[in-house]
Amino acid sequence: MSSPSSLSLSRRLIGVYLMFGFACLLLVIAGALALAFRGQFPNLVPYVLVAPIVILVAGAFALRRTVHLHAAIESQLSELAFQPTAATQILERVRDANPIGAGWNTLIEQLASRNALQSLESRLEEKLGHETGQAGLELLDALPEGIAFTDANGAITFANRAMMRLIGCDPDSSVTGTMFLEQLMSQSQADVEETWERLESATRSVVAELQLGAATADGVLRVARHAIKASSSTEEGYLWSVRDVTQQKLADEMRNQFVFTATHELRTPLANIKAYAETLAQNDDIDVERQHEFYNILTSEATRLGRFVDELLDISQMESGSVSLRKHETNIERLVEEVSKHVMPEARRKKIDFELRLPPKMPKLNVDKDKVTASLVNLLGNAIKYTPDEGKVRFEVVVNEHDVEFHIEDTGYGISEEELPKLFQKFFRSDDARIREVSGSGLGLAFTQDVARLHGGKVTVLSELNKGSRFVMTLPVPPKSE
Amino acid sequence: MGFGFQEAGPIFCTTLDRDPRRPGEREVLMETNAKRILLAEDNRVMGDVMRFNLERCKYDVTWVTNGKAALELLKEQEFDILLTDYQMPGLNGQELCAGFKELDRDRKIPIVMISARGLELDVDRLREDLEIVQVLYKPFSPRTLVELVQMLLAPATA
Repeated sequence: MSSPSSLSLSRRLIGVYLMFGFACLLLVIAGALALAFRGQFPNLVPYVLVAPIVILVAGAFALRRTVHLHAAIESQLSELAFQPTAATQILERVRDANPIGAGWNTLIEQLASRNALQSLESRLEEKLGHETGQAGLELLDALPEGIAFTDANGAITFANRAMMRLIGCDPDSSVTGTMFLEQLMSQSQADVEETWERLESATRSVVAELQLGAATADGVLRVARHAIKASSSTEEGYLWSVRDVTQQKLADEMRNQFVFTATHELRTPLANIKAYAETLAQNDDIDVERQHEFYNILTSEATRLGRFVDELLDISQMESGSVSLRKHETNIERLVEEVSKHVMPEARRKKIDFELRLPPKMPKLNVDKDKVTASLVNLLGNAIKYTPDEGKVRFEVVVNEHDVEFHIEDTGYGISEEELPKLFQKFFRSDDARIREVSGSGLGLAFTQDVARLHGGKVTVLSELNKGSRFVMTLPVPPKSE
Repeated sequence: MGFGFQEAGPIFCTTLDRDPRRPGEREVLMETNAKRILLAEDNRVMGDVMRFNLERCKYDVTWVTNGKAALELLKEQEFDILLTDYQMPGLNGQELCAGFKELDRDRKIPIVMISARGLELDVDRLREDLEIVQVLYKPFSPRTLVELVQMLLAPATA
């Protein structure tokens, strides 16, 4: 600014104006003085001297006002010429309402908003550019879902650790260049033709489920393929994501089985209730004895329905962990007495040889009496139910140092080796026709095991088909306080 | 006593002057040309009430609790209608019907399959393959059962 060359255009304009004005003034004064010497118009001399000076000064002020705005803009522009990169610091709004000022201000605003956008863009670029690098790969490796990129031919360009595990490769080895679908399909023992074709032939994004074996429990993968369009930074290819949905599928199957079994178990007593109630309602002339029989059946079917609903509720509460045990100090004698009271009528009806063995001295247990009683009734009830008439059932209590064992042994139908592992599953019922003939919800053993588990105990089983079974429920004995 | 009877009157048979459970009298009924029903139902409670309602209508009901026994009876004796539950231990209703078809009797008898809804029976296929004429879903009203049997046995009666 201080250098002569940088003297602003407006200032120079004022300078030129003033010089021209002084020149004119001098000329006028010179003319006036010449006329005064000749003695013409002597009175005019003072006016001739003063008036042009006044006009000149007023003009200079007016001119200064006019060029003031332009001077501000001009000084900013000339400064910008020296520091072209510092536009945002140098350029500033002017305080003037004329069109040029307003135009200048608009220009500045536009420039500012463009700058803001640009800086955001560059920040984003910096961020994203970073993530596709090392951090991006780490992120992909940390995902539980299998992710792989392949080129347009299906050769792997990248596979994350989860994907390596899913396609049966060591996560630290390299699979780059191998064909992805071949790797994936080699994992399955099932017939994959159809799935393969579906995944390979689709032109757009596609999702397919891949069975790893004949049964759902062998594994199910959900495979999704998305096409990646070619851009400046990526080549054309595919993004594959593979998720293990076995647990989800198993849960679905179990839920369906549950609904099927539960509705069947609910419908059987319901159908009986409807049939008996309508028979009673539509026939006034049934003899009294038969009527009583029908009413008793109605009551017992309603009880059965209620019990099933209770069992269902118990099981679901225990499994969701929302049940609390009401533990009290419990006498084993009382427990055994109560259990026997429940099962003896049926044992007598079937002429079962029922043997009860108790040790002379039994400790007290700290248990939820109702639940343990119900569990033992389940075990003993099963023993009686699934033992042919005139068979043998033995109920024995064995006291150890830290626990008490309840042995329930029968000479019944027994359980086959294949069915033994499924025995404690909810709703599981043996396919054995002799067992199917007896009604049961398939919930008793699941309940019993849950009760034992909640008490810190367990239920074990030994069984041989057509020979009999032995169930042992173990409950811990609380340490003596004295 | 009065109004319930009125409602039941047109469909249900009036009081039988016999105890349906007394076997001696059933022999008499058989001789008097009562229609013979074979009922295969594994649920004892349900079977009992079905037999009760059918016997009140003077049908001669033979009730077995499994498919195998039903098939044995079908081999040995003549029946006018077969009512069978779908879910039974051993031989289920469908297998029973298939076994019966294999006997290839000259005289065709109507078959009613009783099933719990939700088993997703392919009714059309059952009709085509096994000559089942009706499927009755549980829970059903005993009146529906009796009406159905009456309808299926009507042409011969008339």
